[in-house]
Amino acid sequence: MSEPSTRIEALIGEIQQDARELREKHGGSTVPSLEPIAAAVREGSLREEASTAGGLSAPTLAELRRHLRPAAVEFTSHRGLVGRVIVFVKKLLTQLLAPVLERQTIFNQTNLDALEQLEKAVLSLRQEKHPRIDSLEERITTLERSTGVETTEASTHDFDYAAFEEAFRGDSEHVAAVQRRYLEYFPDAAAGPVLDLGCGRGEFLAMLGERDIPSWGLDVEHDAVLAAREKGLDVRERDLILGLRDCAAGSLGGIVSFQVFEHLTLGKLTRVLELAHTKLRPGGVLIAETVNVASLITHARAFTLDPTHQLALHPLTLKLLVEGCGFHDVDVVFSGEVEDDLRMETAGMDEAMKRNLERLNHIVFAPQDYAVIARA
Amino acid sequence: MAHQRDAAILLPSLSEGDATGTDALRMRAALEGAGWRVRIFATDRSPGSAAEDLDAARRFLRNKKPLVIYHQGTRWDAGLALLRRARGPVLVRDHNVTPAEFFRDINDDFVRTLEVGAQARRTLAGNGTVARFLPCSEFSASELREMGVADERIRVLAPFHDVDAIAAVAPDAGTLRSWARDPADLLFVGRLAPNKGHRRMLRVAAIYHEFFGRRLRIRLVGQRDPRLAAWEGVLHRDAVRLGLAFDLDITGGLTASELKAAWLTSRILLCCSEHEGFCVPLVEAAHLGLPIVATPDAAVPQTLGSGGVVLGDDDELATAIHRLLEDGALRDEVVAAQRRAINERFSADVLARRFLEIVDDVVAEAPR
Repeated sequence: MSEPSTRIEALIGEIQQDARELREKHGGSTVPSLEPIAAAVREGSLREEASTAGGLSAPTLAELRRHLRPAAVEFTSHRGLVGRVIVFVKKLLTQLLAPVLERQTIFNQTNLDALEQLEKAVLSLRQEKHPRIDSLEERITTLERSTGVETTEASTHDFDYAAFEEAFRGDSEHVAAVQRRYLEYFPDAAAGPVLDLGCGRGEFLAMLGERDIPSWGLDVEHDAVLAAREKGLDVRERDLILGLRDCAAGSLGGIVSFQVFEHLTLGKLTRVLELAHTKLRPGGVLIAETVNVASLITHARAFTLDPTHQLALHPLTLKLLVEGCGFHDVDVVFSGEVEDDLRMETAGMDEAMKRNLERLNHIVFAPQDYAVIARA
Repeated sequence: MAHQRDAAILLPSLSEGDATGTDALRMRAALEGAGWRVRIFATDRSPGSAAEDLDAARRFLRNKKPLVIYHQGTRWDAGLALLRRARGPVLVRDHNVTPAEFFRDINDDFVRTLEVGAQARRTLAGNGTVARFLPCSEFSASELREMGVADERIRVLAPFHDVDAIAAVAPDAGTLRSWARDPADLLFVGRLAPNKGHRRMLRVAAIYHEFFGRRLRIRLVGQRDPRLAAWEGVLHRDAVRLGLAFDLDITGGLTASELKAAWLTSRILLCCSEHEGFCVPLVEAAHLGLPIVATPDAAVPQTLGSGGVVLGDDDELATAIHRLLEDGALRDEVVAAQRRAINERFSADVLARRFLEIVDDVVAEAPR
């Protein structure tokens, strides 16, 4: 490595001397030092949330800045000679109005400064509030446990869900075959990244990986997370809300969740949907598949079979909740036909009885699952 | 020795504008200029690429005994398998791997990728059949020594770059017009990643505001990776916290002509990067006449050499920026010193000459 040239060396000496004098003059800088990155990441994510909830997003800041100086507008025209005259007049007017425009610039700058102060205040309020909410949630859980009223998370922790799934939901191949139909929403890598909420053993993530679509998953079941990681999948053991909260706003191309929403409380489901809308980029897709409780046989069998189910979500209810969180183009797609041999026979019946049995078949043996598919 | 005039360049991926690709293509040009027949082989090739596939590489290594130049990047199992077939002398172009620690709180997937990359680098460092390792800087060379590579097997060779092409490209007219009205006082060019020192740049700008009463416009140019989206959130959050919310402009990746507009409408390149194996943007800034202020981390001071205004203290960095913004004559002096320091060590001719000397040494040592 060569040493600095003599002139540069002298300059560095002068700069160091100037900096010393400035420090003495100002009594040192009051600019805070950089705190640990983990805290900054968490706060950065909170700020993105705040900005999409009506605060100042980066594009808004850029746009405001662009209009800071009205005198800096560029005049052009494609209308030949007439255009040139118009441009000349506009430039002349701008020069004549210079003192007024200068005052406008000062006014704009003052407004920007005030907005910046407000933004700072909002951020610090959120910083202050979030740890308090987390600590309150923790205290409520402890209290509920001590009084014997268990939360969703507590009850599922005591339940061997992996074994239950293996016994009643089917093996990985079966789950993958069922979920394959949703791949059409992710044609290539540009449709990603995709987040799978409650990804279980990661069947859908594996199929996305085969197509080079960036994706990762969240699940609270330790065994399922380990099984997914053994397959080389990026899966984190984390609560859905906390995991979603960590994602940057507008950073996701898709969010999928299969047979998970029925395990949440209504409050938690609403929070998940709100966050999902925030974290998806505009046009990003949400696919939420759950048990069709409008099918009476499914309600009687699949829904009541799983003791960790919390919420009987009618398709219209989920559609309404999704729309309420700001999603658009909301579709409900049914799947999983009930076996034919369970349906009531209509052969040999008279027409009136046939019609009645068909009505009953329609209500009792409706498809077992449905997915709400929507765009952010 | 006709069989030794064949050379194979192996690399995982060859795409236009990519730093490793530029390095490989310029190596080929240097070798061809010295009478070598050179073929490039890669797993990932962009359409119309100069590279051939690995089947062709296997046939070539079976039928000939070429000089092999292997570009070490991240894990590339197929490349290592090819390397085992090499019967001629082998040069490993060592590309530095950013320590995973920088990404620990940002993205787990990135951490794993970098850990795998670092492991692949260590594995290669233990390969006794490699004749020479070619790190990009003395900083990277010292890392190789720590991995057990003997000094006599290491030759520092700065990366081949494309600054002449950047100087020749015309700026994008729309971008130039827009940024000419909104020029950047401070520019940095490099991936939007946590090792690049963006947060420190913001802190220096805040100190400048406090000391000198003027806001600085900061423009960060660099590719975004969706896995590192949280990093951008951190920067916006820092900007708000430091009172710079309206001064920060993060552009993301740019085309060559847009990048040229960024260079032409900026006043100073501030580099606070904490980990660089070389830092090509410093060479580009020096070549295009932008004064550089930098911190003394990783390979940065070595790259700047005698032309570097390198300072370790944030108050001093702010003061240096003030001097360079206010004093035009000083600015010209610094730019001239930088250009001299960069050109005398990293011009295309100097790099090609150094590369060919290394190749000649290796070929002379190879068993006949």
